[in-house]
Amino acid sequence: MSEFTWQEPESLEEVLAILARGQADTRLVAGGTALGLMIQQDLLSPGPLVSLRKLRHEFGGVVRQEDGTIHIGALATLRELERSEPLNRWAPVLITALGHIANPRIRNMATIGGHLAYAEPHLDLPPVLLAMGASVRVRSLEGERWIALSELLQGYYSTTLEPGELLLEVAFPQQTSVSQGSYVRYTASSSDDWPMLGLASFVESDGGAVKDIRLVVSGICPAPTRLSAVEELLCSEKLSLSLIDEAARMAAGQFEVFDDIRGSAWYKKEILQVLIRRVLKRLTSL
Amino acid sequence: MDKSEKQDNSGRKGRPVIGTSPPRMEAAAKVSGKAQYTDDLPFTHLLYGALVRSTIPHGRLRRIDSSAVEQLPGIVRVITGEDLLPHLADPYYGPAFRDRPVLTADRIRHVGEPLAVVVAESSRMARQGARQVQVDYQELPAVFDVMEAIRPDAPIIHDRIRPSGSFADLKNLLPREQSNIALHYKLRHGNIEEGFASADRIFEDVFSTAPVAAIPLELLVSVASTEASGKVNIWSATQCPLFVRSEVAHVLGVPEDQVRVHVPNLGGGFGNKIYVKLEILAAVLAGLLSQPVKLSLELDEHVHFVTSQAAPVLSLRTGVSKEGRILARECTIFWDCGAYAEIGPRIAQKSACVAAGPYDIPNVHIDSSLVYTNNIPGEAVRGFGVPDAVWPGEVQMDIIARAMGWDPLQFRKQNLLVEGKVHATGQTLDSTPLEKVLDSLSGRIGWSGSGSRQSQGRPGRRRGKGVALGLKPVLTPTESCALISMAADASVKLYTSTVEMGQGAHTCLRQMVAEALALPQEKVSVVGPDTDVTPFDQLSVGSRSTFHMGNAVLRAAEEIRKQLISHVSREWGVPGEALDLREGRVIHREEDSRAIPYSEVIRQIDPMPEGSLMGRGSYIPEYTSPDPETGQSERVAVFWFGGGSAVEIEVDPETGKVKILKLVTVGEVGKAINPVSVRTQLSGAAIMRLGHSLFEACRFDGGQMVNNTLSDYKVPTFLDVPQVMETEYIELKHPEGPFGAKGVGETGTFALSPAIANALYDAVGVWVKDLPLTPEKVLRAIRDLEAK
Repeated sequence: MSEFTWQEPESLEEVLAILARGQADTRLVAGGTALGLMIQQDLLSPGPLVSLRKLRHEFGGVVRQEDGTIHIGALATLRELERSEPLNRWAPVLITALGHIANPRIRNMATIGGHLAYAEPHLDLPPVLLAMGASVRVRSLEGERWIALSELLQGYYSTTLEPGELLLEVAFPQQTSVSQGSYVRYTASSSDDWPMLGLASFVESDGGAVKDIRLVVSGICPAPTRLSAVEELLCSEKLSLSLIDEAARMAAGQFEVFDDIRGSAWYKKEILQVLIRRVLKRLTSL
Repeated sequence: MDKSEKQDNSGRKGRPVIGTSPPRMEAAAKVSGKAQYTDDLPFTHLLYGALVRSTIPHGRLRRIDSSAVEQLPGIVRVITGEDLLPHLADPYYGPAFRDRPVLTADRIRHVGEPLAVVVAESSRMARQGARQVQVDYQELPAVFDVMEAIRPDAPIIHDRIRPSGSFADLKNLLPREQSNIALHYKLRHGNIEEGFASADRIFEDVFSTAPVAAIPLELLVSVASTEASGKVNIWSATQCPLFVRSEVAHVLGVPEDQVRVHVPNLGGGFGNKIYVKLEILAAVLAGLLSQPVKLSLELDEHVHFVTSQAAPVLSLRTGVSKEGRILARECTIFWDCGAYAEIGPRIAQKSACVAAGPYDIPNVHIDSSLVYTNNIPGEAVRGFGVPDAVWPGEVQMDIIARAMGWDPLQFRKQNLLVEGKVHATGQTLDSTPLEKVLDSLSGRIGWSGSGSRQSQGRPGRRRGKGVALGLKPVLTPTESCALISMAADASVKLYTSTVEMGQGAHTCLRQMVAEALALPQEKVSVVGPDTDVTPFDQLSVGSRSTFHMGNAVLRAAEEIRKQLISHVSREWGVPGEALDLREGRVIHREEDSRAIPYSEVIRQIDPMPEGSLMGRGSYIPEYTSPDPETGQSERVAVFWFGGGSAVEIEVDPETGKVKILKLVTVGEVGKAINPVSVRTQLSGAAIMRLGHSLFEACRFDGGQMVNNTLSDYKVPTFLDVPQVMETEYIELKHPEGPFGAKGVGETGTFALSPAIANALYDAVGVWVKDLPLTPEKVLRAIRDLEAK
């Protein structure tokens, strides 16, 4: 563990001012669950650590705006979200995914902003949020901007956040009442393992035809990846078992997958196809 | 839980305490966080050491440059293997062979090998310093595969092997020079050629197992401090305080009375804390620096010390008659010892001897070779290699039965080693009711005997059942000693070096003392391991403590009893046989009214108010060393203990994932002293083995363990525990056991892996022969089957 300093700014302006000083190894601490481990394991030697603890009340909570978009403050803890009644109505799939993350002790500390800015490829919420069309609002001393989640997450621990920018909230449209959604995580080891593969799906179908579909895969790729070509294929003709099989095969062909301790490339592709077939059959009641 | 298992802490009113389940003595302290572990102990002027470790698997140490590190704030000293040499009488240690340097000064044999230690004022500074020490290596060709390591052109890992002479049971096993085969154990029983010649059908299969970790909550930690006289005190997370004392004394070249080893609460052992780990280094450092020094490992370091010794190659050849008798079985095992022998020789011998299974087989041939490689040194993990040795034989039992159209359970039964039959080692089995274990397993799992695939359950899933059985000889010969003192108020102290590591040993021993002296358990307290205080005990491993320490405790109690009775006998003028102990008093068996409390007897014996009685007991069983050429002996072990598992599983044939719906664990234990402890030992061992069977494996790349954190090395969680778990213990008193008890700590691990593999075949028709049974391996096997 290396030397670091600890600051607890009182306001957003103060945080942004610290970030604007441009010291590259400055790190923000929200829940600290991932950062703490990385420091402990010597994967990261941060300089100044800046706690966001005192901003928690200002940038937490869940609201639904009149246009139907759901806004979640970046400092809301995963446990708060998991227990949020309104969120359960507006985004039930997100609640399912929240229940899979680590354990309640971690979820009590970890925040959704930290979860997204961490950009670890096996995390559970990014594929779901990406499938729901989420964006994040970020701010620096220069101003504010919205970034689509698909653009924010670039790969292993890598985001398009600029130095000086702070992630303030995540927003996404409410799941429509006609769409069916699911999040499946597949672990090849203990049930609390990182998912070898995650699949978030939302389908709106109408008497055998798919009207709208979102499929997002995580875990086997550096960042959650939307299967646009597969989605197009599934919307192109009447849904059938053979079309689903074709879609599953096509999905497996879209990734360059590598062997790791959780499975070989072959196995990951097999599981991707199994999960796609199962999820589509279930969501479309085929 | 039946009636006898109700937790009962009430004072005994003459009722027996054996067979009841009082709560653990240490439970309140542990759950309230008050229990102190080695890492919690306060020391003044404590220094912290962090190890500098090799990043290469094989080579020579050219130079260690610590000049920059020594300038850092808080760094006290950087000490290399070279620096240590003048202070060590023997720079090598090891329980079987003295092949492991305290800190290497020259040759490096595995990734993670300690090269130097950075001592600092804080643990953080020490670790930070250790990362910055510069090491210059000369790399040598490394070998990681056992079959490559035994080739004539393989790099030789040890030029010379020196037996340590510590073990009576290993005296006959000599290492081979100029070869990576550290040891070759042979068992020859009957005439193997004739056996195969008379067989109607011969089956050949090759299996493998992977190294696994145990991961106790408390990792390795030791503190040492030197007194002004030079005497060294060590506080350590160890299962073997007496061995640590003698090994530290040997390596330092000091008398054993100048080394004192204390063992506070232990946060789990599982074989991770046997023999010597960090203690020698801590002791040397404390002496060199004249300040207490603590060494403690992080998980990634801990697993570089203590992964299990795996058997990458287990070949089996079995000949059967068409009537269903096993006529011959030949087993060839290659164990991956890793870079240093550690406990490997014992595993290669004691565990391999059960590889032919718990069966009555007239002709058996076992060759078990321990092979040095540049992998992390292998160690014992719960079961001491027996789960690895049981695995191939018990899967092949099902392979044979299925191929011949027999019921696998019936096939086992008709070949079973029942009472009075001779095991392949030459020992006649007694007090080991294996048939009852099989009956219990088959009843509880609902064995139908059909042997047909079962497809009920969720659509798209397939179900199957599997049973397997294992047998282990307890480590023999080992010695235990105990002291009991009874104070003038008749309160009793038991002095024992048995380490309480969560297994409930102290509670169990206290029950024995209370029963033997007819006292309520609350009158008995236990003084745990402190080598200046508690008498000799070899080690707390291998399911041996209840039996061996139990016997020593009973002998010590008997001495107290004799003193009480002989005094009263003289006073009353009645023969000793007419007297007995009951409810804290010496009583006359015939005349109810005649009774005298112990405290009064003691006052009569010793008029001083602070007088007390002492009882000593020691126990070492008989043993006949096996013939080095044939492995034959009439008494390999003082007792054998059997255990079996039965599972019902559900397989997802599209993913290969195995879900255990029901898990039954049955052990035959002699007598359950504390039934709740016995059951939790059985279920705990089973859950541990569940991970080892289904997904746990240490994975290596060039000798470096790549999944060395809990993010990547996963162990079972509550969500992985089967919804239905049943345990049963079979009681048949062992004539030499304390109250008839044997051991139980490892029993639940013996046969779970093959039971699952057998159920897998029952469900989907594939044999997976290498552990762990990951979904990927299962799916590949299913695909291979479909392709045929």
